[in-house]
Amino acid sequence: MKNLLAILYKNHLLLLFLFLEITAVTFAIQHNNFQRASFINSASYITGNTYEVMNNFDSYMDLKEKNKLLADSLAKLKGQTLSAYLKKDTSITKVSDTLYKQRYTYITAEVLHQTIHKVNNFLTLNKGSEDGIEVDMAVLGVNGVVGKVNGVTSNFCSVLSLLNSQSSLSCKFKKNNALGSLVWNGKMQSGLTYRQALLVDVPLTTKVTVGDTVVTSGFSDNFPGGIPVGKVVDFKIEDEGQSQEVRLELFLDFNILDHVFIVRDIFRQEKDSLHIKYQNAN
Amino acid sequence: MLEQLPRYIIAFLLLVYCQVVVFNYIHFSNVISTYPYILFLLLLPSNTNTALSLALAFVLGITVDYFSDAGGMHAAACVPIAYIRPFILRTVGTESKKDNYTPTIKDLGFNRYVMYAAIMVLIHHTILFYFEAFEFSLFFSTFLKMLGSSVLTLIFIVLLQYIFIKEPGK
Repeated sequence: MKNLLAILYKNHLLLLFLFLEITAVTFAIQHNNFQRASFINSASYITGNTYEVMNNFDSYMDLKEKNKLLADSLAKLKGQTLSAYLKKDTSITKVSDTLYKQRYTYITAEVLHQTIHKVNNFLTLNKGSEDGIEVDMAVLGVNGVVGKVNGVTSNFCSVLSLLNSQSSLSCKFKKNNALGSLVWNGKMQSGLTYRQALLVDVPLTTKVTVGDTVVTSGFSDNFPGGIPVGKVVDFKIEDEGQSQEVRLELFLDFNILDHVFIVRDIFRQEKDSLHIKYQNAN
Repeated sequence: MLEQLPRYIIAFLLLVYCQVVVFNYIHFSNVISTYPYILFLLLLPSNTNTALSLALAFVLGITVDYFSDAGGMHAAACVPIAYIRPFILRTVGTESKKDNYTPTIKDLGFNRYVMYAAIMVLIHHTILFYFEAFEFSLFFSTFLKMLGSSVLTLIFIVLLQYIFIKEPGK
């Protein structure tokens, strides 16, 4: 013990030197680590905004295609304005005021991120609860159905894509209103691409022909009826001869999707309260 | 030593202040910078207790680090030169019989002083610049930076001597 103390005392300058030097080096390295950490923080800020930047670039590159789509939808909308109709009765404007009460309003949104090649695909849109978006709202594209909102933050919302094994949408044939349920099981099971979907539970009594147009029925929550979904490319009898399974080609090309409409049902609350009050009472 | 205490306190504050406010902003083509604050360590009396000068070096380094946001780099560079200073002084020091003197140009003579200061500055700057670069892939560019900065620091240290160190008795 005495020897140890003697050695310590003999080398006390070296020990003091080592102590101070190690302290200084530790400070310096911790400082470097801190710089690294702050660098990582700013980097994650950058990655957080990468989707947005990439999206900006993409939307610029696709302008031509997008312009065509917008022009198409504009033409479609022009076709629905009053000026496109032949006026037969002066009272029609007045009648439409009370006869037609607006039920749906549309909020445009931009697609920030989406997948189309997975079994369960989702989209991220740039509108959130601050813009009045709520869970279960329908999301439409220019020429078809996109999906339904399944999560909302204050500025963004997540959309359960039609291209998701959990999605299910009530549809009908435009020609005879025969109902079916639109599902998408992913390419794993049924060899579907992002341009195709299946209409199942179609009754055998429904006569299906290739090229038939399928539209939304309006029975699914919050989806307006009559939105074109796709056209028949193939059909076969399934489920031990109980129903038909129809393969549709979707009108909407998810691959070039960037502007979508979120549908707000003005009567949603009223409808929901009705359901709760009279249909789920037992 | 004790009667010189106020002088050293003023020297410490003045050198740190000048380093932080003036010298830290002197950059030649982003390569050469200068750290004349270590003049304080060079000026300590030759018979200063090494433990005290180690502590002073640490405090000086940490102070500069704090003001130039450098972590502990300056402290890590100052402590070693305080540790080896007695050996250098013994090697290049004067043959005069005085066992206590202040290492200045006046006491050591110009040549000996520049040699003493150059060794101290080179060691300090080597540690500082390689610590700053933190990798040896930049070995030669760091070496050139270190060398250029050492020359500049040495020039400043010599000039500061002529400006501030009064001859005794005046």
